[in-house]
Amino acid sequence: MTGSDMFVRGKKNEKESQRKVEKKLSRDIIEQKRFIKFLLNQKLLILIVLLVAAMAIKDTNFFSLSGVYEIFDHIAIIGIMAVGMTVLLISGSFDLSIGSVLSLTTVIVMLFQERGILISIIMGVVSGIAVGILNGLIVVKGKINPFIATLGSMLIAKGFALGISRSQTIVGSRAEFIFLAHGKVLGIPNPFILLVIFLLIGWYILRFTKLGRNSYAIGGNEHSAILAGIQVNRSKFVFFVFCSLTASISGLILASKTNTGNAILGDNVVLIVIGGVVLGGTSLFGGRGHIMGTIQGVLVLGLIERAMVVFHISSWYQYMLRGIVILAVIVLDTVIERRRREML
Amino acid sequence: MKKLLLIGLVLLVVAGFAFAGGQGTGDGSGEEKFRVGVAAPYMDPPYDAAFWRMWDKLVKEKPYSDWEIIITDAQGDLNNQINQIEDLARKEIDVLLVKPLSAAGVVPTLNKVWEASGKTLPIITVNLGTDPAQIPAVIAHTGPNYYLQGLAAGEGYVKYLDAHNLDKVNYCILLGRAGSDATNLRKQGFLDKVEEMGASDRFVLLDEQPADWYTDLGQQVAENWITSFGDKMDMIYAENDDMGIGAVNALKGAGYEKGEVLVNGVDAGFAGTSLVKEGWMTFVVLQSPMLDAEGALHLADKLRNGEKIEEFFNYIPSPIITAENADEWLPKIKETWGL
Repeated sequence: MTGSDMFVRGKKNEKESQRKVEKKLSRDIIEQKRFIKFLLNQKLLILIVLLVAAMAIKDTNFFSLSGVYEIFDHIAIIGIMAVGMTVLLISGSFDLSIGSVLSLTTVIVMLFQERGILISIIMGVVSGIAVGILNGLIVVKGKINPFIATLGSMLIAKGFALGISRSQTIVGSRAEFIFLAHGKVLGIPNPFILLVIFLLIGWYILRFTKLGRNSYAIGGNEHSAILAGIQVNRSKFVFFVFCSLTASISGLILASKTNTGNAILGDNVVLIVIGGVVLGGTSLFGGRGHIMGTIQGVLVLGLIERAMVVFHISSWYQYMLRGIVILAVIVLDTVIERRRREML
Repeated sequence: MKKLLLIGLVLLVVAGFAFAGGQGTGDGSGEEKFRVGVAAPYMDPPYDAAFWRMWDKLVKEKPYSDWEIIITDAQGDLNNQINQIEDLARKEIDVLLVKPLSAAGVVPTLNKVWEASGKTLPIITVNLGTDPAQIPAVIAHTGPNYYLQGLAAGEGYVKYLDAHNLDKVNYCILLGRAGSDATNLRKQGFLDKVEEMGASDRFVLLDEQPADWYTDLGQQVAENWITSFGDKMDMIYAENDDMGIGAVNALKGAGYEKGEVLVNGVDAGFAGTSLVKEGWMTFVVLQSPMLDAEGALHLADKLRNGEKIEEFFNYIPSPIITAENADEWLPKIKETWGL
């Protein structure tokens, strides 16, 4: 055996074992997906049915078709952002700036409204994408931890929004714009329709595109993903832009619902969005998650809010209840992740 | 397969409820209790905490104790508040009290629920009005007038300058939460009054920063100003008591004597009013949480009795408390803040 023969043999073995790793990786991913889907679909669906039934019995005003439409109308803003966050979280990244992007979009849309509704919408979305690009560049090129990077962009975007709005609430001047959020198609509120569209987009990306598969691979084990030849940097960049895009669309909806733009509108959304996404089965550590789970998680949070009004729960307890739910979610997620690591 | 069956079952159940419950027969609780829905923006800032303390006290007495009162807390999130307004309106309530998180931001939703109720749901704004001010969906407003408070503060300072023969002051403004309407109106009122009294050139603005209504932030900002401006700064216009108290703490910490730098408060809580008595604060403008809460409940009661509310604007008075009348106000202050 010559040295070069051994070298070639070694290379062949390397390729084989690489293929084996890829196969195991995709098998693992599929197994995990099925397992998680099965596990969580049960729990959340049951919880949803229970909440819905309880509310319907308590006050039948809440159980009409318009009532059902209304709950989806209410969760649309959080839900659309949750789609973007799901894709990003699965890939193992994180985005704290979505609240600021939401606020910034509302401000920009309102500032540009005099020039025309279409222009204002385009500028609003462009500003959101710009922040997404910034996030992508800082994390991918700058190799900075997403938590820190998006914390920075969150402050920058908010500061910018405060600056251009001079800390004032900007009121809209075009009555037609309000129809974006308050209008209906065939009786279905527009935000609900937008929510469904984005859910489908997210579902399609994760299930049928290479980009989606990349997300699971990168989140599952970034190093293996690099070895497997996945374009990690490009994919991550796209996920950040997509996440900010969803935040921007939600900003459009909120601006239309309130006919105002303000730099502080998005201050509280990050926690709720992440709470809903993690409740739905997406791990904070990356590698697993599913759009179907996300919508259920967001729906559960929305139903809890509604239930507090229906059941007339005192405002003092509302705080505790929300905190308990979010805490329970994160604990559960950590426990499941630990078990998963042990299984490997 | 199993999963599809499960989803199908869920959809069937939900559809069942949806079509069965459509008649809006409501709660079925039987009794005709007067139901009041209250959409609160947040409850933790000191003024709001006092407001709700007074509210709790007041509703223990008749006739309010016979009512069914449902309060929602938006936790400072406008999206939450508009969702909660819709949720409350969906219940069979007799009146909706709204303390808007954003004067303009709640308008589309209030219009929507009013229309959906067939223009029959009485909506009253509390503490903060809507923008534009008098919309058809709202039948009355009750609360303090932030702009008037700003005017009172402006007048208070101009009068003080005149009384003490002070020609010019360099001043800073401690602003409330950025973007809040109270913040903007108290500042605008101050500036407008100063201009109206012909004193615009006597007030030289050095800086303005938000301290979000909180004492510790007010103190931090004031400390920074003391460092940057030193003796150049003569006055701090604080948009509320707590920030004013923070400024006073900063001055005390830096070794200033009382009266060297003019500070005021708006709210007139016990601490603030005491500082006026001691001489650390020039004046405070009263915003009584008790009168505020009482105003709202009183209007709701009128509706319950079938009375008409004549005036749209039902402002609670915002008198100014200076060193001269601080003593007589202090006992009333305790009562009005529920202390």
